[in-house]
Amino acid sequence: MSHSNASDRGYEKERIGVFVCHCGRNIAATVDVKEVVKRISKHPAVVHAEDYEYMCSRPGQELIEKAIEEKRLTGVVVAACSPSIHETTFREVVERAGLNPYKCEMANIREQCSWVHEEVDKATEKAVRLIRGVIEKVIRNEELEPIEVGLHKKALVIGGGIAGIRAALDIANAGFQVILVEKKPTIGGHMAQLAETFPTLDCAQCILTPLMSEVANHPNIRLLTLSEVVDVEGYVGNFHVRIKKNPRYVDPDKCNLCDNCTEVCPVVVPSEFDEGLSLRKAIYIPFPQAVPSSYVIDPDACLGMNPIICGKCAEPDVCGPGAINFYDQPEIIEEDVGVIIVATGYELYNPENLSEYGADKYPDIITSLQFERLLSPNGPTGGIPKRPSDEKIPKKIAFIHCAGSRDEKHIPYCSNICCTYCSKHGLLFKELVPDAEVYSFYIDIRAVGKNYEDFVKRAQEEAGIQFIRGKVSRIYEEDGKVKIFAVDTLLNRRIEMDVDMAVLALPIVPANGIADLASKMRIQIDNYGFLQELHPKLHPVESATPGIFLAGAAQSPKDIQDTVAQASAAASKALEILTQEKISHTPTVAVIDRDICSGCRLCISVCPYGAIELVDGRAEVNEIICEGCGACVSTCPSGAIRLRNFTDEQLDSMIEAVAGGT
Amino acid sequence: MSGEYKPRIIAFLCRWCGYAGADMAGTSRLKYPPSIIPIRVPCTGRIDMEQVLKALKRSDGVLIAGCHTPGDCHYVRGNFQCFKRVTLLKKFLRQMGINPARVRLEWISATEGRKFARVVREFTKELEELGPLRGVE
Amino acid sequence: MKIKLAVGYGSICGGCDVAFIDLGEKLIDLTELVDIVFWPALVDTKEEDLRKLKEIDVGMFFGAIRTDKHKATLELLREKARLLVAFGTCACYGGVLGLANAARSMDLLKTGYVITKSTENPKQILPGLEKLEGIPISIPKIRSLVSPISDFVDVDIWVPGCPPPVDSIIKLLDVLKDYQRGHLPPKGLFIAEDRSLCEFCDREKPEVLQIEKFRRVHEGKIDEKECLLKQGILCLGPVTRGGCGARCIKANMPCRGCFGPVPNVEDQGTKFITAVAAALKAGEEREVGEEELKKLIEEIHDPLGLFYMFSLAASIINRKYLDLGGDEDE
Repeated sequence: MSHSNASDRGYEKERIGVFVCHCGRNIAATVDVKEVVKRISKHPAVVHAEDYEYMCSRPGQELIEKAIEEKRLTGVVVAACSPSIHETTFREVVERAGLNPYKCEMANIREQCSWVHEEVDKATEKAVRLIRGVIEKVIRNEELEPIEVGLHKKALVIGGGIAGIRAALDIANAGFQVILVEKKPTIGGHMAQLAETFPTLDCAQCILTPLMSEVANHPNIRLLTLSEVVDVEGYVGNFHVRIKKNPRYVDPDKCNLCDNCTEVCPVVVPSEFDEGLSLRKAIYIPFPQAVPSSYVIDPDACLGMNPIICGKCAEPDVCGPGAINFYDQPEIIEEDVGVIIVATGYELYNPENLSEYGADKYPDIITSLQFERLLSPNGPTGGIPKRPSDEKIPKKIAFIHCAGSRDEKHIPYCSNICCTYCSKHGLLFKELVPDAEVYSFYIDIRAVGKNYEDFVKRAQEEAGIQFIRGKVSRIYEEDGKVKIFAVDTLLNRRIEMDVDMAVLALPIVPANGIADLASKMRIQIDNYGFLQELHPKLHPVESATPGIFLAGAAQSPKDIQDTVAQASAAASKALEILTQEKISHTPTVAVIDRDICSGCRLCISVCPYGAIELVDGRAEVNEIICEGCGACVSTCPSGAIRLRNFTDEQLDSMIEAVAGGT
Repeated sequence: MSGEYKPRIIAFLCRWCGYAGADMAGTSRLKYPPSIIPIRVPCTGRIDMEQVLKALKRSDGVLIAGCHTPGDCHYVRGNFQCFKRVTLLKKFLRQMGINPARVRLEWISATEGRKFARVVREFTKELEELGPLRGVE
Repeated sequence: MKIKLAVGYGSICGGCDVAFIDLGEKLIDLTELVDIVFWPALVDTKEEDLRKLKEIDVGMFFGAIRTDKHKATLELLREKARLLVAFGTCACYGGVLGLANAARSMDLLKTGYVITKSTENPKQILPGLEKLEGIPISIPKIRSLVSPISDFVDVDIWVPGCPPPVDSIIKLLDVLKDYQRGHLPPKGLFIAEDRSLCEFCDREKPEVLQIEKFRRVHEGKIDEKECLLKQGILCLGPVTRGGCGARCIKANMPCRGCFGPVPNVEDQGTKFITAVAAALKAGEEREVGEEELKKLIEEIHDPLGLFYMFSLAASIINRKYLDLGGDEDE
């Protein structure tokens, strides 16, 4: 790389104007602005230099515009406050005067000079050097225009739980096409399995199913169930996705929900919807209000479809409408979308990992989702919880908070919703079985949402649930009794208790397969496997990849309120893009010189956005995805990559200038 | 060291964290020696170690301020690139007889104005004690 | 008309002279092309003879500048020659000898002439004296630094390599033949490729070049088909000019950088630091964390000796500093 020298740079062609702001007394009290103007006027590239009280004011701005016109300036340096305050302001000023905005830069002689130093001569000297540094940058700045590209006005929502449903409806209602992809045969997610939701104790299905119905009927939503995203290519505004739609074997347009098929089906397997507490047939409907409103055949449970082993369900006297098609095939659907929202939800931590709590071994030690099914009127026990072992109604029940959460050995974080739903479980159970003894083993009570503290108090005071502060060390079942070993830390004593049923509040973990999906889309996942937001405060629903947004429990454990809020936020961000005619992108991106690139691929591994790919053996940057961080620029061992308006030459000359050159 | 010597520090500050932190020191009217002159960079991951060495030769110390690891980098992991590079560069510096303390990498967030001022004061003092950077002639 | 050729020596190992023998039969071409007016290894002319000439066509300089005599020879050669060739990595970049700049020249002399156990030098006499017990002798004085020749003179043609491979020498002869026909080569011509060695390496390049862990050549088997960097072996190919035929790579050994840096890179070793550190655990830094990354980086024990092996004298930090206090005998 050539060394930039004052003499060989050819400053004669440059016509830089330097405008030094007093900022009232803020700068002028410590920096001798007149002296700065005097010294900087001597710089070979400077043809105009002046000072003024408030450069950002209208008269100040006019001075700049006037100088640009009269002195035919090729670049402007405003020595004033921090660029984070007024860079945009001054760039608009120069643009109005007909100069490219990138030919305007600021030198920070306030926050990083006058406000932090006391000796006038030192501060003045530093101000001059700072300006010299910025002059070196601005004379080499290219005159750039924002990069613009067209977009597809369609959204893809991955995940048909409450988050995906809300996001899809918001975007569809705004008038845009949405493709909603769901892995299971029905949308609704875990919310469909819930009995009642806290703190209002609304019936979950009652508030959910109208939304599911809206999705089914919405002209702007294309619903793809039994489907998974297999590939995502492209960039914001222009994603090309491939979706694999698995066969249903039942035609939803023909199926009339008569249920004749389940009567003849010989196969019986545990029901996923009931969390294994009941059985279903190989042909089944997950729950009566499923959307699409249709039965489905489970190919792993069915005795055989190709060749047909049983075939009873398809017989004409069983399935009147002839909805069953054993030859249904998977399909690959390709779509072009502008934005993607990932709302893949959660799962419960596998209880096999917590063998000391015995949920995997003993019938009456169950998970919180299983308890929800027991409480649900459409559940396996008609809404009154009964012991899976002998179907007796438990009289003594224990809810175990933090069963695996906040535990270094299992899940270190807090799962957010357990304290409230355990209180809910206790409350609802007490309403059904008023003479029952209900215990809640907790470590801390986290009830942070609106009205949650009241709710927990209600569980304690009205329902008489006994809250015991202490970690449970072991649970097992023997002779029909569930034995709990714990500690009561408030009373400082050990507890050995026999109950009829124990319910574990297992940790919330990200849904299976999320890591794969995330890597396909080049979005980050955090240490715990949840989707990583771009910034927790500034960009809570955006991923690091422009155009891909996050919503719901996929991003972190949360309740339905926050999930819905986040889904609408993600939809709003998506609409920000979809409502544009063109996508505009800052042009200060990386550019690779193909003639120098030797195809070593180091840049590709360093780029955090996946903005670089190989084209005919040479690396190439996608301008729309590139965010201009410059990691590839420094990494390139051939020096083949240039960051527009922050080149090595600029940085080298800035170093020289601030060190005291020129 | 004679009273004439006043250490000079060239600083590379990332525009999202380090530079904003330095601005915060100014907004808070904290004071630190004028030994330091900053250059705003888009990300500490942009910095080529060649530039650090050029800056070092023209000064007595180089300060690099970026976003906190692991998760604060505006561009995801540029700060880690800088960290790895500076770690390796320091080995080389030591081998060439240069005190690696002259290249100082700090994580300073946009709210850490106090930290910025403190680091500048500390670094200046350290460089005063180390003396100017002298090579074999 | 035969071209008048002179070869001057800096601090050489003899390898560049021997490299010409690789021409084999083409040596005859050389003898038909040039009239060797000065080449200490080949002909018996003296510097005085060179000094008497008004002008010669081509001067080739082998070796780096270590002593004041080397500098004088270089300047003489530049004065007389129309075209000056920096032949070999030492002349171009300082070469391996440049590593001497990691010590003070005085310390080097002391090690060589005083400190070593087998040396008997009770008066601690160091070379470079002008009088030895009354007898005037002039032994060249060691300079404080090793330098590439470009630090002192303009170079017309660069032929890197340690030593330059025979293909480079043949290309050089072609350039001289063109010169003989009246075509001057472009100023600053490099007889090497502009792209890095990666371009010319046949190994399987991974989609993404990410390094799990560094390892040394002797620590286990080296896969012959896979990119060496990907295997964690510090191969300087990405920062080194191609044109050597990738012979080391073909012998299942990593590139050591003897062809010097690619055109757009100023400091080969420091650029390699910037590039290879970035490749370590690229994409996984947040999960791995600072402490572990530091440990992995520090498994590179000698960045100086490896990354700057051929180019320290031409690097940004090209000399020892006295900044660590105490006696440095490194």
